[in-house]
Parts: sequence; structure tokens; C-alpha cells
Amino acid sequence: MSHVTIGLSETRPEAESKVRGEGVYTMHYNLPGTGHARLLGSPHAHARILNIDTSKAERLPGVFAVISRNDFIGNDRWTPTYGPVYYDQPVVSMEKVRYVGERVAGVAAVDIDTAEEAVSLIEVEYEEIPAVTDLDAALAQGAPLVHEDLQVPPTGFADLKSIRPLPGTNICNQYRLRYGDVEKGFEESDHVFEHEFTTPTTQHVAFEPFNAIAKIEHGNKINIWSSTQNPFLARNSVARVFKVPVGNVRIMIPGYLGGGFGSKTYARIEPITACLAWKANRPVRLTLTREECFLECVKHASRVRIKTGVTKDGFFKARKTQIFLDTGAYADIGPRVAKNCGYVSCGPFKMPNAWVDSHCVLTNKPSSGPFRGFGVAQVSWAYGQQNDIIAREMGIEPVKFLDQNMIEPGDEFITASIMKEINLRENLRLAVEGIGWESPPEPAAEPHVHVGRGVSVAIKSTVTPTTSSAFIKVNNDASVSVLCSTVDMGQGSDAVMAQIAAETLGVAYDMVSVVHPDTNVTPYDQMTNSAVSMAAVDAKNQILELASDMMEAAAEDMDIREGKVFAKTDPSRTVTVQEVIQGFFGMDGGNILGRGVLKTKGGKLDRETGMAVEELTTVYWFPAGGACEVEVDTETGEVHIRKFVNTVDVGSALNPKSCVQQVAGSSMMALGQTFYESLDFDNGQPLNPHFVDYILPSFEEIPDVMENRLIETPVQDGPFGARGTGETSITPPSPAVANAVYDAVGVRIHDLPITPEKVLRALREKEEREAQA
Amino acid sequence: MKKLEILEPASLEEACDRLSEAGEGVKVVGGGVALAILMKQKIFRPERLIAVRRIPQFDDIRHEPDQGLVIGAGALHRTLETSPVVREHCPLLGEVMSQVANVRIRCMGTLGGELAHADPHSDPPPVLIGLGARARARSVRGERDIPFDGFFTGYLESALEPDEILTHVVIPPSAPGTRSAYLKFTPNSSTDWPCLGVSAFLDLSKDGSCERLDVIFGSVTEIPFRVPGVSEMAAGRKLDDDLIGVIAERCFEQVDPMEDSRGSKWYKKELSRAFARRVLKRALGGNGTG
Repeated sequence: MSHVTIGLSETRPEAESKVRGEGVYTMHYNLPGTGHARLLGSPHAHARILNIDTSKAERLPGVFAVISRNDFIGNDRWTPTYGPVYYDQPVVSMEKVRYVGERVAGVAAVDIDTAEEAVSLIEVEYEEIPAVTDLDAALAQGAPLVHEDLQVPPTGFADLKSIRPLPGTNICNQYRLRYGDVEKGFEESDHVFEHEFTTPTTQHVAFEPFNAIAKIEHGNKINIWSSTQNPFLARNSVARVFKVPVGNVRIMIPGYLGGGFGSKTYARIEPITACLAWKANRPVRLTLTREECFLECVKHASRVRIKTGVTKDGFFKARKTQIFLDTGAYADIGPRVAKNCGYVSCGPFKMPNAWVDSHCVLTNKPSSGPFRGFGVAQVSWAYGQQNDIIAREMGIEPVKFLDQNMIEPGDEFITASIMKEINLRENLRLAVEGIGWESPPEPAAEPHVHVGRGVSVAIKSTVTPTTSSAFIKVNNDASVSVLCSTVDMGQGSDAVMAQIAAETLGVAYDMVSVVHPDTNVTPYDQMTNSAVSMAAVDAKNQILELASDMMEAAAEDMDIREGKVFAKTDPSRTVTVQEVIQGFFGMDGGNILGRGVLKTKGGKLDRETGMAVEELTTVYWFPAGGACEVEVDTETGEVHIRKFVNTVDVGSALNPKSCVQQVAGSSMMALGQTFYESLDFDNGQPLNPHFVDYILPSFEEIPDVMENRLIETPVQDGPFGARGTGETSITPPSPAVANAVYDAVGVRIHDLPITPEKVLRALREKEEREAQA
Repeated sequence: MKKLEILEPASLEEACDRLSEAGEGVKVVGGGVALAILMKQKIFRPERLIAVRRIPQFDDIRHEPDQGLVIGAGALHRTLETSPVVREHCPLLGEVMSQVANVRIRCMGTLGGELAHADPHSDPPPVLIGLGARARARSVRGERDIPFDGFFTGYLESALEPDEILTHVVIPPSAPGTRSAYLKFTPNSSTDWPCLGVSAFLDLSKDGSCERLDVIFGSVTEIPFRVPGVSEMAAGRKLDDDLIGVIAERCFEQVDPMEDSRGSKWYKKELSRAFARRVLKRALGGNGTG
């Protein structure tokens, strides 16, 4: 049956207001009498706090409240720590500070200037202690410990039951995978390759800064309007801090979210803002400055050692991967990032023997959390380049090499799950076809500019197991409200949720509104998925039941289209949904309520071997590919992208324009990571947490030609066969560009970002080597 | 905490009066592009700002037969970029303006503000020096002209006295037939500050031999660097590829770059050779990328 709205590029309901600058975000939201908060950040990377004196700040006229550890010591009212994996994240620093910028205290005052002045009056006595400000220091024998006593909480995410902290070290999770016999695999290999690749700390740089407004009612009802990607995860943390039932904490996103990219997934500034509001006895707003945003949540810097054995015909035999992720001062969700990037570190390839140790390493740097791609970008930077190195050294065409090793449905993955619902060869084929791989590239006009091409393919898993729920309210005029907690942070979920509900119920797209997340109203949601279609089916079945008397037909013999119930045997016999509802209630009122609750299976991996315990490693895979043609200027090292082709398997393109926009946005973000972005530190001191020296791509940097090609291999567990779109496409560009640079000028960049200076230096070194030879 | 005071004098005289009374912590502000960054990062906390945007004719652009192009210090980059007067009398300046940052910043920033700020990472200085342009400064003590060759004295330092306001940029008419070019290079997003900027000016005699040659680098050293000796090397000779190569080598030898977040000393030195060659070719009429 053809679809009515699914598959159409329906206009997003918020599009016009956003383009006109009229979109309302949390930062525009205001309550009367609101106090304004500022924070005191630690100047040290690692120090004991000997004393905090806030008395001068408290006495400053216009100050409503000051929060420091003094409010938590000897206070049973609040719990000082929270966190998604470990309860290691303090509301404010307790016994010590663990990174430069860590919040030591917060002030709420009549205005920002007064709050800032009060912050400057807080006196803190520190005793500096040795810090571990990079992976080497943190992993060294006898390294100072960032946390002395990490405790695994008794409850938490289902997929993190197998977490392995290594006591006495800074490793807060070591994910292990042992598949086949890797040493035997190397023995049986004709060639073995070993390389190391690194990526730097970067930040998500969402347009909208982190901000929250908190208001306490009746002493224990906590209302927070927040810029969060997931209000339920933030709610858990606030409820823990305040020792109240989660139902007492109401988290709302009043308008839109100005981007998150992972940074706003877990509780950020909600707990401190709520504590300030409680103590100030009035609403309090906290909006972080851009400089503070850079240190609030970052992407894991990484070091990946990768050793691969292949046969003389160019088939993979074995791979051993050692991954080290710099997770910063607090674990955040780093342990899961280590796990998820660990088991995809062989990429979408058949690997008969695999060995992975993936480490999540605590350091005295800002906390690393989820970042679009969830660790896949770090490992695909490594395998995406090493695959290219292997192919070239063995004299095999790189595309042929990838193709002949590509994993297919029915093959066993390295977690012993059987692959399904993927068509990776198509990702590769469409990407290279888009570049025109078969014919040689047009040479550059100038002799010092060389042209090259590169390609990479990656897969990513999704959070498994998980749960999502949704309600559908069909109103008396057959208009529909969707209650779900998926935050529209720019991905276009408002439009797609409305499309799913409209299609399922048989009503027009513009009859559906999506209610924005509010933990007191919209039900629990951990990811974008099928709950809305399940709720719509439930509502539809109820409408059909109610219609059966009027239509004198059984519910299963009827369907709904364009707001009308019709008999399948005779579509000319109809009754409108409005007539059905009004007929049932006997008035112009009432609601039909549909509910959908989705709970996915799988995701459990054995603690020692990393093998899938219940068959499924992930509910579905997100595959993506990317190929590019670049020009490299051998006098400056500049890399210019002539053409970039992205391929993403979206399962089913519910709204093709939105899919393409997500892929385009994702790959532009990837080009920032590829060429420019690096948050640098000197002994833990951030050097460039601002737009003066942290460089982002501008619109000028969009490749001359960018093509975004969608592949539709349906998945059973997605609505209308759809799967997530915007994440995996961030992973192929970096290795694809690096491979293209090598193709053009024969130099290999192992450490992101690929700056012109690095390329030029590598070129000069190569020239010197060649001159000596 | 002291609140920031912003004065908006209605005349140049009043602005000079206010500035003469001032001490530390008082700054003249044009578009505020550079100042806002310093304030946001809390590197500089002014007590009082003297905003010049209300002063009549402060953004005037006119051509005077005896003086040349006389540009009010308050003229926006974007206005200069699109000005027919600039295009007629000094097209190179318009071209340079189009390379400064992005169009949103060019609609805020003023030429006078950029020059008075004296950040080495700036596009116009190597061009203004080559054009023989002068800064016109005014204070309660009077008015004076300062050649841009000598105006910049250090990192964020200029020859302006604390009580002086930069009021005009005066660009004298160029000799007929002068060829010139400016190239900017950034390894980052193209709207970023220059890592290196270079201008070239050359006068050719009728037979095509070189009479005057200037190569001036910006953003490479603390103050713009006019490469010494290149005019002598080229005097009376045809600028062919060989000579351009020799001059580029001379530039490479002479430049002693500072390292900054846009490039190391080594990298900027490497770039200076390539860009000296490119800018000379561009000035000669090529596209400058060969």
C-alpha cells in the first residue's frame, strides 16, 4: 500500500519560525522574579580544597544564595553526587577539584553582574596535588588517581552490568572482546600491519548554550525548564540529589533545543541550578558562557593501536585493537562509549579472529560524554585508514579490498551476533560511484596541486536494550496530539513523529501536533523509535471498534484514510473519525487515548569475552559510507574538497529532505573535526575554549559538490522500517579525507585534525627521505 | 563592581575633550569587534568607552584631487568593499576589504578601529603601507598625519598617543601604471584571521623592466614587514619566473616569523616563499595561484 505522508518531505512545523529568528528556546524563557546565577570555576587541574569561605559573597547586597560544599557537608537533605554510570559527579566540588573549570561554587543574585561580583568574593584555599592531564600520565605506573573510590551503583543502565573498572588505576572501564584466537590468526596471516592513530579533545559547540531555569514549589516539587536532550535522564539525577521521588521532579523543554550532539544527554547544570533555586527561594536561571560550555562536556580524545593480519589474497585474518579514551575527570557515559566503540573497532568487515581491549581512562580534564557517533569516529579514524594502508601495500585496489571483506547479512559479527538488515556493499558502491571512481580525476590546473580520492565505510550500534513510550490523543474533531519525549534538537523529529501518527491513524499530516517533552506529561523515552506508531495503532484500533456499530462491520474489516473510516470491501461506505468520536461520547468532546510502550531486547555482552549473551548485540545497525575527491596544495599543505558523497542506510526515509539535511549537517560537522577542531590544554589549562582560537568550518568550507545518498534497507523494529540517520555519517569523512590526501601526495596523517601545516611538514619529510634514498 | 560607562559624543571636538580627560581604562570604540572579544574574555575591562559612531561624517569616504582618497575612520569594511569611490580610486583596498572575516563582521567593523587596534593579524596594513597611506590623528593638541609605514610599533601597539583619535585614512594617488596585489592565507576556515597576508607593488617602465618593487608581509611578524632589498634586486630587470623565484627566496630568507595559533615559525616561513611568488604573479596580471 502506498503511503499518504510517510516518505514525503513534509515541511517541518518549526521551520519558518526558526528561519525568521522567532523560534523560542529555553534561553528565551523567563519567569518573574528570576535570580541569575554565575559559577566559580576551579583554577587548578587537581587540588584538595582546604577551605571555602563564602561569607563575603553572601553579604553582598543583591545576592540571593551561594552554594558550595558547605551546603552538603553535614546536610542530610541533599546527596552531593550523581552520574549516569558512576555516582562520581558532584553538584559542586567536595573534597577536591579534578579539572580546570570544575564548579566549586554557584551564586544566584539579582542580576548577572552582582552574581559575578559575588563569585569574585568567594575565598577558596586549595592545596595542589599532582595531576594526570593526558592519557600517558593517567596510564603510567603509580599515577595519581583522579578518583580513589569509584563505586558501581546497584542500579543503572541494563547494558552496563558488565562494567569492569580496574582498581588502583585510572581506568574506569575496560571493555574486553575475545573472538576466535587472535594470535593464531596472526600466525596464519601472510602479512601483519600495526599502526597507531589519535584524535584530540573536541567540543560539540551547539548553538544554544547549556541553560536551565529552576523553580521549587512547596519545598519539594522541583520544576526545571532546561536545554536537555533527554529530560528523563536529567530527572533521575535531580531526584537523587534532592532525595525525592522522580515524580517530584518536572523537567520541561519549553521551546526548541538549539542543538545538542550528545552534550546535553545527561544532567548538566540542572542539579546546581535547582539547589540555587531552593536556597534562593525563588526561580533561578543559569546560562553558561561559551567558555564554560567548552568545558561542560567534551568528546573523548583517543589513542587507538591497531594490528591486523591478512592473507596474501587480501582477506582479513585477525585484528587486535587497543583503545584508550580520555574520559576526563568524571566518567559520565564514557564506560559505554568504550564498550560501543570497542565492539565496532573492526568496522563492517568479516574478521575471523578479533581481540579488543577498550579503556575508559579518567584524567584531570573536562568530562567527555556522548558525542554524535558515540566513539565510532575515533575507531573508524583508525581502521578506515589502516584498511587503506593494507590495500595499497598489498597492491589491491582499495575499493575492491573493502568490498571483498565487507560483512553481509547472515555473517557472524565479532560479538557472535548474526548480521541482518544491512546492505553495506551498497553504501560502498554508491559512495564511489558518486565520485566517479572508475574514471581518473580531472587534474588540477596548477602543477603544485595534486588530486586524490578516498573512501571509508562504518557501522554504529544503537543503545540496546532500551525503552520508549508514547501516548496519542485523538481529539473530538479528529485532530491528534502526540505525547512523546523525543526532543527535537534540530533533527526534525516533530515533523516525523507527526508523519508517523498521521500515516498510522489515516489522518492528514497537518491535523497532528507534537507536544514537547515534559516529564509530568509526556512518557519516558530513551531514543527516537517505534512507540509513536504503536500508540497510533492502539488509538486506531479503538476508533475502528467504536465505528463497527455505525458501519455494521467488524473492526478488522475496516481501515481509516483521510480522516474517514471505510469498509475494506466497499470503500465508498464511510464515516468520519469525527462522527465516530462525537457519536460515541454523544457530544462535541472527548478523547480517544492510544498508548505505545516499546522495550527492546538484547545488548547484554559477556563481561570477559564481550560476546552477545542473548544473540542481539544491537537492535539494528546504522551503516554509512563516504567518498571524496580532494586537491592538495603541495606548497601550503591545504586540502580542498572538490566533491564529497555521503551514503547512509536510513532503513526507510520517512521524510527524505530531513534525512538529507541530517546527513549534510553531520558530514559538515565531520569536516570540522577533520580539518580544524581541537580543544587544547597545557597541563590541564584549556588554551582555546572560545571561538577566537577554536576553529569551526564556515559555509565557505562546504565542498564544491556534496551529495547525500540515501539507502533504504528496512529494519523490523523501526517505524515503517526506519532507523536513525544523523550519527554514523559523521564517521566516514575523516578517514576518507586522510585516504584521499595519501592518494594525492603520498603522506599519511595519523593524528587529527588534518591541518595544512601537518600535511606540509609530512610532505617535506617525505621529500627529505626520498632525497636521502 | 564598576559599571561600564559608554559616552557617545556628538562631535569630534567633544570626543577629543573626553579622551584628554581620561586615564587608563578608557577606550575609543568604533564597531567594537576586537574590543568585544577582549572584554568577553576578561582580558580588558574598560571603565569607560567613547563611541565614535554618532560623530557626523566620521564614516565619510571621499576623493580629493590633492590628497587622494580620504576615508573616515568610522567607515565600515563592508561600505569600503562596496563603495564606488573606492573602486574607482583604489580598487585594491576594496578587494582587501572583501577578504576581511565574513560579511556579518564586515558590517560591524570599522577600518579605523581595526588599524587603531594594531593587531598583527590584520589584512589592510601591508596594503596601506605599500600605498603610502597615512593615518590622520586628532587630539586636543591638534591634528597630525602618521605614515602607516611606522604607524605600527608592536603587538597591539601603534604610534597613536593615548589622547589621540584616528580620524581618517588618507591614501595618496598611486603613480599611473602601478601594479599591485594582496593575498591572504588562512589554514583554517576561510573567514578566520590571516595566518599570512602579503602585498606587492610594482612600477614597470615602458620596456617592462622593474622600476620599483615592494613586497610587504602582514600577520607574520609583530608589525608589517617590508622585505628589504627586493626593489634593488629587481631594478631594471624583467620580472620573469626566474627573477620571481629569486625574490621569493630572498623573502624566505629575510622573514623572521612569530609563532602563533595559526602557524609555527617554520610554517609561516615556508608559506612566505610560496606567497611571495604568488603575489608577484598576481600583481603582474596572472591569477596569483600559479
